[in-house]
Amino acid sequence: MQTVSKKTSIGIIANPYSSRDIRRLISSATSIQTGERANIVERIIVSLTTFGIDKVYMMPDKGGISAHLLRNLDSLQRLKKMDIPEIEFLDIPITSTAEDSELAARLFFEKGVDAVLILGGDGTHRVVAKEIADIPMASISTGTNNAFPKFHEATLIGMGMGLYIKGIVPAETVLHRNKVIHVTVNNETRDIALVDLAITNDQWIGARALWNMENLKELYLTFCEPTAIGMSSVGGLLNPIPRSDPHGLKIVTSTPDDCEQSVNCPILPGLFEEIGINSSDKLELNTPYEIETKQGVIALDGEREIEFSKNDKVVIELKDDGPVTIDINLAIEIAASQGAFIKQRNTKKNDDFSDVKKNHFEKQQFEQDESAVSI
Amino acid sequence: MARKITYQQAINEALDQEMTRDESVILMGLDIVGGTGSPGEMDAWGGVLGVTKGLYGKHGDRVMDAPISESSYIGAAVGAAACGMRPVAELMFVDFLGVCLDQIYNQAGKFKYMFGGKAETPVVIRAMYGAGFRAAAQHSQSLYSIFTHLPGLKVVLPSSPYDAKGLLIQSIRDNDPVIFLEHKMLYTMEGEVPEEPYTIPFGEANIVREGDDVTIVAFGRMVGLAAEVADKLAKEGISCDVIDPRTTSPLDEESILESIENTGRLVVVDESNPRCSMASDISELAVTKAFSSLKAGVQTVTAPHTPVPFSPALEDIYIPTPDKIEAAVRAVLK
Amino acid sequence: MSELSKEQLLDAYRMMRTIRDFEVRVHDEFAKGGIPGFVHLYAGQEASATGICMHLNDQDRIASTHRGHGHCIAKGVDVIEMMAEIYGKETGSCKGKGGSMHIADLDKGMLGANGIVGGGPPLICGVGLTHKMRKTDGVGIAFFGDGASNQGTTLESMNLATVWNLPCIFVVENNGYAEATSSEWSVSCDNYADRAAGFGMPGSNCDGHDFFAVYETAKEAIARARSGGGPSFIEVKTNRYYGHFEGDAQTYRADKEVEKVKAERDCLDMFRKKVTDANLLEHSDLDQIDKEIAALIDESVKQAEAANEPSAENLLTDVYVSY
Repeated sequence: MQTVSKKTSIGIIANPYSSRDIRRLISSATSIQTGERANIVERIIVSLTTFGIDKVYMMPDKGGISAHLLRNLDSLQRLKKMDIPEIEFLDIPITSTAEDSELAARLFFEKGVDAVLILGGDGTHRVVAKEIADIPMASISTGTNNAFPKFHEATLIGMGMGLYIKGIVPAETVLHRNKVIHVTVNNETRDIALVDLAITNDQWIGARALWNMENLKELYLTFCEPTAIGMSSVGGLLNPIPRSDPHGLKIVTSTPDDCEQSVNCPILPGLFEEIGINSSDKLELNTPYEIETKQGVIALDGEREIEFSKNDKVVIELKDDGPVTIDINLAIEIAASQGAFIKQRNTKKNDDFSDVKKNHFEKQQFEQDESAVSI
Repeated sequence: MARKITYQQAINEALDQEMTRDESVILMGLDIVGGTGSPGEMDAWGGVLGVTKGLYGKHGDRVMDAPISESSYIGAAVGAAACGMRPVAELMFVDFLGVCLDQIYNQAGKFKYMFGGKAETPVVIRAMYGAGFRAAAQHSQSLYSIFTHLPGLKVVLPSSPYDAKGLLIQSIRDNDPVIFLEHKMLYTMEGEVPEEPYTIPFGEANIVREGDDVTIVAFGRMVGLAAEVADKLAKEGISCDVIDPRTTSPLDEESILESIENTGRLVVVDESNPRCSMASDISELAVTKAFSSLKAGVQTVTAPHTPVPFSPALEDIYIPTPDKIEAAVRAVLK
Repeated sequence: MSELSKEQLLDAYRMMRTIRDFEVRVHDEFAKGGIPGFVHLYAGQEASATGICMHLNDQDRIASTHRGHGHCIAKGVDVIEMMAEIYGKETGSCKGKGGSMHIADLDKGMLGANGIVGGGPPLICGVGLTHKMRKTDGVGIAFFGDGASNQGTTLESMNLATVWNLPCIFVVENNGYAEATSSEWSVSCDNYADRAAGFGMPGSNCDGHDFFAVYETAKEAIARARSGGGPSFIEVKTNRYYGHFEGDAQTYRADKEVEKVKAERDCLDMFRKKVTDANLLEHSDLDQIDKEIAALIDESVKQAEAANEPSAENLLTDVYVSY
């Protein structure tokens, strides 16, 4: 009888085409260059290496991230000396749109990766969340609006993911289930929003991004933090609701002059808009709401996605079945408090940090690997 | 009132007076101000040889430094001209035409024709040319025949301070694209130049010396050398007609042919390489249109078919000299 | 957003329909042998020229490419004269001296289709400079393709436009191919926004099949330039329906590539569906335009065929203003 630990793997979504839309023109919004996106992935891989993660599945792209990464992996002595995870680029057709992220996420789910890492903002997270069910996700906020992903340096995210995947920190403590808004049109499930669902009376999806607040009518928020940028900032500055609360917020807006209250909100990086507040109410969990606007556009997490007409019945519902996220801070804090990073120096000669740590982690892994497959 | 100023001052004065007269005249080029964005003084250079010095002080932002990016700023000058401005863009050395020629000959030179007559592109491109400065192969060429070959462009070669001013003012006021070429060895040449603005029409040759024995057609800096030879030979009783066409495109064929018909003997002096040159062009003109008047074969005095050498010893024998011109004159008289 | 009036929507459709029908007809007539020379067709990319040029007035100027018919039509060049020009007739926009690759109308702010890949961007710097010097709020738009995006002239112009802070918009119409070479291979950095950032200007991309996406994106870029905010860059992701030139067998393209785009992402179909679904226009409004344009294109071909060849003396005129 022999025990073999399950191979560990993660999937990485790094779409070079995210954060390139009209918001660059409107408000000089963030535009992280391809080279830096590749550097982020490289730092993650280095971080995962120290935890002995076996495999990394990558979304392929033609925008330079994979090319840049492969070049570095091939040429940098620093990386060559490490025992980095096996890297496999998914064999999918590349459309150079958000569809690539969607398809890659679906394949990650099929392959049963232990966790998915997403480089992106609210929009990319939404696309991926739809596909990976309960596989935990970790985020690097490289998007335009980053209300959903919390900001961490890539290296730390790799650490947090490694700690969770290797079972060094307990899953039940570091994994969080997120709320999500489901939207149906004429009883047909259409899409989700992780943070904000906005109803405008725009006529078109057009350039997708949402920035013209004159047309804003209703806002449905899963949570809202005062330090967020994007549509959720309206709620965040008006009536903050934590991610963990069992309800969300519904706001009916109007032009500021028609309202008793208004809030000046950073609806995009670099862009404030005065939003008039008609009403603001709790958005109850598991309760369908029919929207009030008759014709317009539904924007999900900052992007106009669905056009609807007066013949359409649009219903939204807040549910507690959203994506599972890894609390990176918490994972590292717990691990540190348990001394998980302390090297056990058996001899003075052995000063290779990563080897010692690896031994340490492997020891732990073995100890807790009760459910390992036996053959 | 005329007074003695240099060729370089004459050019500066022409630019200054035209900028004062016409708001649409703007200047652009590398270091024509000099110092833009640098920690020290603006107008530090006023052109690499100081030709545009002081114009920034008088005309401010209408005199613009450009990045070393000839395709873009020469093209910008062409585009602005098509919008009704009168840009004068400096290419610095004419040798740099290789990095922006498309904007000159495929764009500026062809707009009017390609667009059925509906475009005017009154751009002037100034550049210095010529050997003698020990500037070697990529900063010394005399490339006027390349531009002359191209329909739609006008090509101007002033040989004196007086011509420099009058021809440059004409270039700026002209409604076609003009290549205005300044010989770098002439910048310090002094001459009588009226203070007030004046123009010299294109396509009208200057008869620098009059004579009945030999016609010498010379271009740019060669005009002075030809005149020197003519003065020397005059003492021997050999009289030469020295013709400075001033512009190679348009070309004053009439004055040249008239002279050849009178003298029957032609020497062409051209500082550039001999193949497909102004020397061969004028020779062809004589042979096709004045053959019956010719009493002797045409003689040309040109640089050899080589790049311009650096070594002063070599460069001095590269450039046509008065001795070679004199020998050519004597040859056609044999 | 996109609060376009009914008239504007009709104009947009009319413009796109005119370009489409013009190009389809040129394609057909070329195949029959009626049209001499090189012809590069814009069909499939209509939303780009239309979505951008609808924001422009006569003082604004555009520079175009060898694939320039769409830009000409969108900038207001007369269609009857354009067709005659493509036939090389004396009634053409350029008296038959320019042809398909050089159609221009400076009075309309159309600085010419351009046979030189990358020929236009430097000229647009000149347009921007003119507006800046004259203190107008005019702008210059350089249309170019993914091929020209690699030309030094384009990159130099982007640098100059930033350095001189010119009201210029660089629009790369990325149709995926420079002649027969894939842009995914030939463009070192597929993300044009990265290139733009490298030249100190914002870069944005948009769906070139969706008129409204192009319209909105262009609106922001143009407003930025008009108000002194300097240059910006737009990547319009699009597809061309025909080959690089007429007669191109297009064996380098994927199987059913164009058919798929035509079926799913055609800019005219998408426009029609959107505006009729939203009850802003009736199908009958659009059908009426279709009829009018069909008649206009018929008439343009009829007139072009009937027009005189340029007489011999035209060979020598229009080289210089005076010589």
